[in-house]
Amino acid sequence: MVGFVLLSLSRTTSRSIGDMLRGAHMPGFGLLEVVGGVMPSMGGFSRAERVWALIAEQAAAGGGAVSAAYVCGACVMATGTDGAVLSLATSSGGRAVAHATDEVAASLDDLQFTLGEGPCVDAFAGGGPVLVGDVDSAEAAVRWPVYAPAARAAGARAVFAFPLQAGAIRVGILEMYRAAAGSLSGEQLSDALAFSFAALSVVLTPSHPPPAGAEPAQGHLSLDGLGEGRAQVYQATGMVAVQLGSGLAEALVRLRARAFTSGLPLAEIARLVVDRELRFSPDHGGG
Amino acid sequence: MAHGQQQLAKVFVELADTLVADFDVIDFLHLLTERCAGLLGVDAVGILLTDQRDHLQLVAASTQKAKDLELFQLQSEQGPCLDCFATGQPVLCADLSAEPQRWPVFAAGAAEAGFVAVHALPMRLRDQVIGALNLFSATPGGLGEDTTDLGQAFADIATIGLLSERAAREQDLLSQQLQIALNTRIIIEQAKGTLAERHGLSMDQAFITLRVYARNNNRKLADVALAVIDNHPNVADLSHPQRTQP
Repeated sequence: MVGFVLLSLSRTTSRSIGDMLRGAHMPGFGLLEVVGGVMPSMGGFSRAERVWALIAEQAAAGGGAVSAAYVCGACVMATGTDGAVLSLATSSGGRAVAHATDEVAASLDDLQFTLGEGPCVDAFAGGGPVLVGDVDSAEAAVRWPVYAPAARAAGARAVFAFPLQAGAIRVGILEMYRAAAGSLSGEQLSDALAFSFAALSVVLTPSHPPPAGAEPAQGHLSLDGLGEGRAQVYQATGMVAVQLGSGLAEALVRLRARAFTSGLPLAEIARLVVDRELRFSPDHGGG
Repeated sequence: MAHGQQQLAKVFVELADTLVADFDVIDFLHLLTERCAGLLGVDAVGILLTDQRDHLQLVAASTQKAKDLELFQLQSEQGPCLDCFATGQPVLCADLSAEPQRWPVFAAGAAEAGFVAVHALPMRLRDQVIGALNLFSATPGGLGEDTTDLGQAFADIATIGLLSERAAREQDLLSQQLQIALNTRIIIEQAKGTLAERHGLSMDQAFITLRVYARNNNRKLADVALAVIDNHPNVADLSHPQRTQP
């Protein structure tokens, strides 16, 4: 890769580089469909809204509050997969399964933790999704010599692992599988990413329920990216962690709890922290 | 012209030099926006990337004003860079005031930031658009064909920097690189907050401190950011930010 770039640059023609990117010299691309659009699609609802609606629908049908189980269930339906497992990193360095939709999903997670290799292990270590359209491929066999055949024996041919993360906060993995080989389509990949963010938001929900009358949206973790208010949420997370002497995850939970109890949007709480008009102290539980 | 070509070669060599194994993609894109602005004679340059969930995210900008305008554009959901991403084609506007109806909200924001000409070039990988490179000028005027080509070369180099050759061939690696780049931006924001609180700095001062420290110690910005968040002993000398500021 690097050698090729240097070669191209030494000729200094923009077209040779452009041609390479457009695939003139690189046959056999297996690419995503065109990634994303710019505007919210689907009748004016954004992808995040649609994903939350699917989760809420599952929760309503199951008669419970939004939980890991309903995130997994809705995710399986939306992404056209056969099962999902949400596993969380524990403080002692181990892993705990928050929910698995079925036995295959549960054993996939268990396998990787036991073997110490697999897509989940790599996704958690690397901080990006690991997508395996076929665990029976030569490449998968080289990458995970023990896990790949074991996953197939457990009943999974395709496996997709997404880290639950926001910057340096990394709390677990959402993994989906298919019994038959097959990659995620571009749409399915986008949905899977949105579900991994929803799962993160569920995991990082303050343990104290919001007071009666609080708008759920007030503590809603807008993890869609780095808009102006969102960058401040992440900056404020770093500041509050120092104020509390805590980790970033706890700081973010405290920020969200404050949004719930104060009735202000999370972005506004974050602005107050960044402007040094609001401080958190370790003494007051729940923000 | 010979001088110009020499400059061009120098910049490309400098950028290629940063494309070593395990390089820092955010730092690379920042450097690219700065060099691109200088070489093309525009006032500011910004880079937006898809988050693969229907939105674009700002990953680098050569100036604070360009950063603000890019964020404004993302928030108001209109502007040349969004059109460029949606169509995969260059979107050129030599004078925003000559066509106020094209992007009324964006044009007003641009005027406030002091920009009147905006050009957006696609970051393309075959039939796929992963982002846009955006050029902002304080004076009206189109880009010549040569300059547009050169701008597109910068957009292509940004794409190369972002995606390894392997990533270009494999779906999982492409998605991985994009998500890691975007997550790295978040890590840097968290580290800015951490550093700002520890040392009573503004967010801008905190960013400069991180960046200068990473450069001076030949370390990746993302690694320094993580070490700051973890309060790791190997960034203990960052506890005197005034010494590391330029």
